[in-house]
Amino acid sequence: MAEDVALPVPGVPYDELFEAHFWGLVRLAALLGADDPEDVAQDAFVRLHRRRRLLRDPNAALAYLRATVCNASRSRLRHLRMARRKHAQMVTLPTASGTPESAAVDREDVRELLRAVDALPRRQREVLVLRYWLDLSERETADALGIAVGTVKAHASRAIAALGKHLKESA
Amino acid sequence: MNDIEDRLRTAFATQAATVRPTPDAATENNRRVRRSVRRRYALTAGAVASVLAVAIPVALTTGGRAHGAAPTLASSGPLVKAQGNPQDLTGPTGPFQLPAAKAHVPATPMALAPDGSFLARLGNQVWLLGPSRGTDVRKPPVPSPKRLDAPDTYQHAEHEIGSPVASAMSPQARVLINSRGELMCVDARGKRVTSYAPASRTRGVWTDGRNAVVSAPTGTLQVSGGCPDPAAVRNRTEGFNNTLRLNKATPLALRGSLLVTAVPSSGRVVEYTLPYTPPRIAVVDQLPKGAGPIRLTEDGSPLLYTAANTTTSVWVNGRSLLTLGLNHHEAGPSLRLPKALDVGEDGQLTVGDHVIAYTATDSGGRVGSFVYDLRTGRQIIWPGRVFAAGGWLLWQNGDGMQLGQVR
Repeated sequence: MAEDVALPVPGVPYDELFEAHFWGLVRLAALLGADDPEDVAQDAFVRLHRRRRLLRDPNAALAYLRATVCNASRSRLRHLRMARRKHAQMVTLPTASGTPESAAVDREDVRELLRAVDALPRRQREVLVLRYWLDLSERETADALGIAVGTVKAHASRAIAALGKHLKESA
Repeated sequence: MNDIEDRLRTAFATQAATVRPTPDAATENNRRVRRSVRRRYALTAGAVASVLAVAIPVALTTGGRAHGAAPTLASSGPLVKAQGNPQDLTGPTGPFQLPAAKAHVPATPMALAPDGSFLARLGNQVWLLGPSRGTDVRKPPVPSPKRLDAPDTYQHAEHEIGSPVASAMSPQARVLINSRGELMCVDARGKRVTSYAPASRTRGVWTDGRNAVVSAPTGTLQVSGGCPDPAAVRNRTEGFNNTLRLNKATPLALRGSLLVTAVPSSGRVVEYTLPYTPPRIAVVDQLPKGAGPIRLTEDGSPLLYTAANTTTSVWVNGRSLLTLGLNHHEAGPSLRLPKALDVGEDGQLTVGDHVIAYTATDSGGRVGSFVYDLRTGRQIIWPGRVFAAGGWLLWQNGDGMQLGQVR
């Protein structure tokens, strides 16, 4: 069955793209609060495989993967919130500060900041992660989230202000 | 602000570093991609399913006699040798194909609706396939077809419900009966599933898009409403039933909405309107001349097949295929079917706008069909199942299937 996976479109080899970016995308999904970040990233690559023409342009492929991970993480969170409303006692919504990974974050100031990021509105959190972890430009962030550049600026500004206020109060 | 931005970078990097790679990610991705590719291959077949919102009522809805066993798999041998090809009757836009190699399993068509959507068995699963909208056949890749054998409100295990022995289809819904006689109606989107009281010893099943009508060998009819009209359903999973007894008549077809064509022992043709108890007789007519002595089943009921479009009714009795104009009751062409197709109870007659298709299955599971173009008189004998409905023709081709628009 290996021939089924062969990509007839010349460009970036799919395997190399996977090797280079898979774990980065898993981390992105984790920072965005996805309940199963690895599954989100796997799905993103399968979707990319269906749109093989994107592999002609590595930047387009990576942008597509990022946008897919952002969308999937958001929809999973939304789904989990719905599930939590229905079965409040059964489903625990994952948060960056509540994941097993975050337990390994041993610095109190970092944990405090991550908890504050968790408390932000979803869009603001996405903008912060893309801008300050991936170091994307405002334009790239806007493209990944499917929103306007001005909206990115507004979300970033409000998020930073909210974090500053939170940290000031908790100090 | 810069301080917060720097702290954010540090915090995110610290948290991201806690996500550790696992060793089998590439293997898992390879597996997912293969699965995705297989699904897409299965769908190259198809254009899909099925937002089939508005339907034009047809004179006679799809459906028909139940077979004693599950539809024969495509790998069964042919009953006849091919003379012509159903593709000869279809236009240049089709046909849409589902080659067996792409589905990875034998494909067997089960029922066709006038909008081109159809039920088919792929391996042990029942799928809804067909054009995406109107008469446009989508080019691949196409969305996933819907599986009917795992509805969200149906609790039986997949293998238990996955063997329908009878099915009928309208643009709004499809009706399935499994080997235990359990009856369910699934709406066009495959989401709303309505279960009904079991229909024991099913003789035929039809749907007009609002009701599922099942006939028993005793001549009684089970009319199950709310199929799929949600307003008529008492709750999401249970529709209402009426059991109606026709006056010792054998129901043969559903005509329009709840007008059943039946033949009583007198040999006349009677049409009953069903919403009343007992059903009211709407029309009494003579059987078409030339039908000859009516074949009888072992239990003594007439062994006839009938179907109609808006202008023509068609009757099959033994090897005789008769056509009759509906408007003036003038006799149309009368044809002699191949001897091999005179198999008894396992026949299925479907009529599209311009094409008649009669499929017979013998006791060994071998299948053969006779196809007739009402406009040109063209006759085709085909070693596989053929269905006609509306402007569409669906036929089995070896282990694959083809769907085309009649030109």
